[in-house]
Amino acid sequence: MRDGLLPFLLLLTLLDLAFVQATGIVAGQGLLPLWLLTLGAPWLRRLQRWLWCRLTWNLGVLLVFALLVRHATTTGLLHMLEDGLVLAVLCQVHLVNNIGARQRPDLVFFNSLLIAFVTSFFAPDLGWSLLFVAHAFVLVAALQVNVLVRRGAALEAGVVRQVVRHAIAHAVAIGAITALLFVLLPRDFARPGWLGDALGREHGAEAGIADRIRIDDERPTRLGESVVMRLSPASGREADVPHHWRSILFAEFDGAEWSPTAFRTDSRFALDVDWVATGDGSWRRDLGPPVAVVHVQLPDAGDARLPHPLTASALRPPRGQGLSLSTEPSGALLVERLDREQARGLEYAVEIAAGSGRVSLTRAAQDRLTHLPAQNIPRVLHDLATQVRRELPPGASPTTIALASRDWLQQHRRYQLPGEPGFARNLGEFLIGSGAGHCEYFATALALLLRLQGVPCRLVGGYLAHEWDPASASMLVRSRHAHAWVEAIGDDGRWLVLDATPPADVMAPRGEATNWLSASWRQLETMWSDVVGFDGNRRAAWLQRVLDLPGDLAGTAAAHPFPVAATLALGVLLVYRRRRRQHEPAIADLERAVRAAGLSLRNGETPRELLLRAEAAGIATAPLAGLRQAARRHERLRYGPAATRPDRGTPRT
Amino acid sequence: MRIRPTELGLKGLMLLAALEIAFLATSYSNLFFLLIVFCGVLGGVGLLTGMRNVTAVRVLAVDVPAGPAGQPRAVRLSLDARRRTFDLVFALDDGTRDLLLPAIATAAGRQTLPALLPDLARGVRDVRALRITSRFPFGLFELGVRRPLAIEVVTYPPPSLATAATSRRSQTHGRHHDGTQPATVAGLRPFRTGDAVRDVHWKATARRGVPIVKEREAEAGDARTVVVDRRASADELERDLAAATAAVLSAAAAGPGVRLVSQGYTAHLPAGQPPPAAVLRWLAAATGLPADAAAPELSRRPDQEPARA
Repeated sequence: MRDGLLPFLLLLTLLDLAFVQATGIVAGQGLLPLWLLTLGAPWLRRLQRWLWCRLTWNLGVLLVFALLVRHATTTGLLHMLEDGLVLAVLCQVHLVNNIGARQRPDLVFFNSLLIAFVTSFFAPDLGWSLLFVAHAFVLVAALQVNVLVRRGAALEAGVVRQVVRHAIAHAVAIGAITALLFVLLPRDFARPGWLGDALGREHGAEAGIADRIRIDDERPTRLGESVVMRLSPASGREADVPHHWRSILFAEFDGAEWSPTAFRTDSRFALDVDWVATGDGSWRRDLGPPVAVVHVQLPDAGDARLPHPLTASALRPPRGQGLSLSTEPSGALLVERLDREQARGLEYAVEIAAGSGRVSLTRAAQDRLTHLPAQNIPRVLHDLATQVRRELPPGASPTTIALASRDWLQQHRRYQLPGEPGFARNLGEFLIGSGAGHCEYFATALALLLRLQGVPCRLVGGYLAHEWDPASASMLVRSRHAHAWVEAIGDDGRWLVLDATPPADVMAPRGEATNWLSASWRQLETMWSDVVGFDGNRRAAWLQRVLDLPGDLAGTAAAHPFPVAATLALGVLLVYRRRRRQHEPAIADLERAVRAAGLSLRNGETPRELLLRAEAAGIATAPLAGLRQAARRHERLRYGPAATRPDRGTPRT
Repeated sequence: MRIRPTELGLKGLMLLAALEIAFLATSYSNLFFLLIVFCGVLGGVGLLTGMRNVTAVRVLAVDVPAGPAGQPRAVRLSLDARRRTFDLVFALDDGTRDLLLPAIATAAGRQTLPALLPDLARGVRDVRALRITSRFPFGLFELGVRRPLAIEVVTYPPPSLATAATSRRSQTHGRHHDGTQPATVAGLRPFRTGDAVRDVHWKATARRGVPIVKEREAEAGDARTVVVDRRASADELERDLAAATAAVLSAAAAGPGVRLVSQGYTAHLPAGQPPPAAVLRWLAAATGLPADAAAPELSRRPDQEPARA
């Protein structure tokens, strides 16, 4: 590696460190030594000539490698990717400090690319995307400089500047083509992958709605960005969209797993106000007059579930198409006979009432909703129930108990995703407070606390809608918004929504943009979310937009002929001026005159030297005169009017 | 156009294949797909830009002067690059191998580039093309284009008087003591290609720090006949041709005129004029003859010469 390349390799390594730092896999200042070693590389490289220095470096890398291998094996390979990342970035720092003058830096390039790839799994947020854009520019420039230094060419500052200019243009072109292909290339967005399940078990699963909930699942959870639902209130007001949208209800808990409600058909066990099909193809239930209407778009209703809030009083299919619904067996609303095509882009409207309907639970149903398994219930649950009740007056109502239990959990337990440091290994740890938990732990803990105190309740799986998109006046619900909460019967016999998860952790308030910087950042975040959550429907919409473009342009031209004509004329003028500047008339005249004289401009010959040659060759008078005139014009253009003064040796006429 | 992946490119292709397998092995991820597309586009743009880079160069002229064997020689390339181009390597293609010229980092517009042609063996090579290759922009592929040419690269023998050819002066002037050079030393001058080693003035060389040779007086009307009998063995022929080259070049420098005679070839070189290209070409292309071939014809008059410089 030659010195001309070193600044680019240093930049690449610094970006690699930033990638790893952004993932948060190394706590606190853990990467500080690597940052310092990278920043000091221009000076530290001078120590290469000492054997002890090279030995120290190699032994250090081997030692860290051994430590990482030990860590990977003792943690059951759960943190293999993290350890690999740390090792990769250490290798980068090692290489940039020790790569020899005759060695090729190929490994630095490939390693850097791999680090960018792997970190995308850990922190695919806007920060990562901005880092990757910077990385792309530096990588392209480094590759280009590498080509030149590998030939042994001495890199002057001017050449480096030109190379960097080209690299910027190339990186922009690569980015644009990548974006285009990303949109246009057909692909299966739901492809499972050959090893999908195996890797999922090893490296975690994506957040979403499952048919069952296992609360001892410690696998890391990936938060997907794909939009699973778009909620547009008819009023356009964010406040009209309820936060909790139910997909599936769980009433049975065996100590480790929640399973769906399985006794809905029997009227003795009725838990909800019944849905009734009406003649216009919609479904209704008696919850009182609607206070809001929300239009729901499901880009992919593959599981046939129709998410709806607890207070939904009617479901209306669009344009009078009937919906064949089933409420079996989980308590969710299921669309029957839904083929693949229908599942794409399913739409319906939900009318929302002021409150949920009153239900009269039979004794059997009440028993089911307060049932606790004989085993696998942590003892600490009883202590917690006692603690909560101690803060309440004797004979507190079920609603009071429910709200107090929810508040206690929100205030005293920490939220964290599986796979993160400090996550509880089981429900017991979470209840004790020695480990943090995610929404399923909070919901389970609340449900068990309530059942222990005789309050009928059930666990709900669904989505927490809280990402308001002002541009489309709709609420975007992504797969990472999958959530679990509890519904309990209140004092008045109505279901209550009880979410024990601290709201600050799962629906962090976005707040208003106070300046252009935060507004731009928010805009970029939205754009990046669209990229990460890109799906088949969005691709189809983009393609349709491209196909409609000619028609749209023609329509715009027809509607606004004068502005369009003026814009076109301006474009043509700019192109003409650019071409004219590139090919000045004086130069064109000179070239014509040279051709007319039957001559050709020799390499390095000035027009004046050409004129002397033409005079010596004794060519005809007319072409010679034309040549003189053209040469004079050219000189005036090139050197200004003073160049053609007689004392400066103006070409004779 | 010739396209082949470089070592870096092959490694990159293998990495891309590995990533592709990992992508297919895992469930679909937009970010993974985006990164793979980025890598593919990086290679594609590299290929297209590389093609634009090498095809932008037009060769106006290639000036390769005749030069002695075993020594690099300066050549001049006149190019016209339609846009700024980078990392250009030129090679003269003589049908058997590429005569590589040093690479240049960047070129734009019309320009004449000096370059050094590496040392070659004696002979005349028909160069049919100039090959331009480049690894720009990313070093993943090496792209080459072939620009047709029709030039000869003449490499004459390295001039040497260590073993003289069969040489004699014309009968009217008698023999010199060494048979090829006038004996009178006129002065000293810096060493030039073709000077005999034994003409080196060692004391002056040591004094001045640069090679100095004795310059011999050119005698008016003095002419030598250098006879190259090509019935000699290959080694002897090379030695004789080297000696003949030395005589030809010294005649061009300051020496007396030379009459070069061989089987079927006679050329007369006046003193003080540069050697005609045809003579150097003959010296570069001369081949041996069988032992029973005719001897050189020394008596042939200039007006009867079959090949004349």
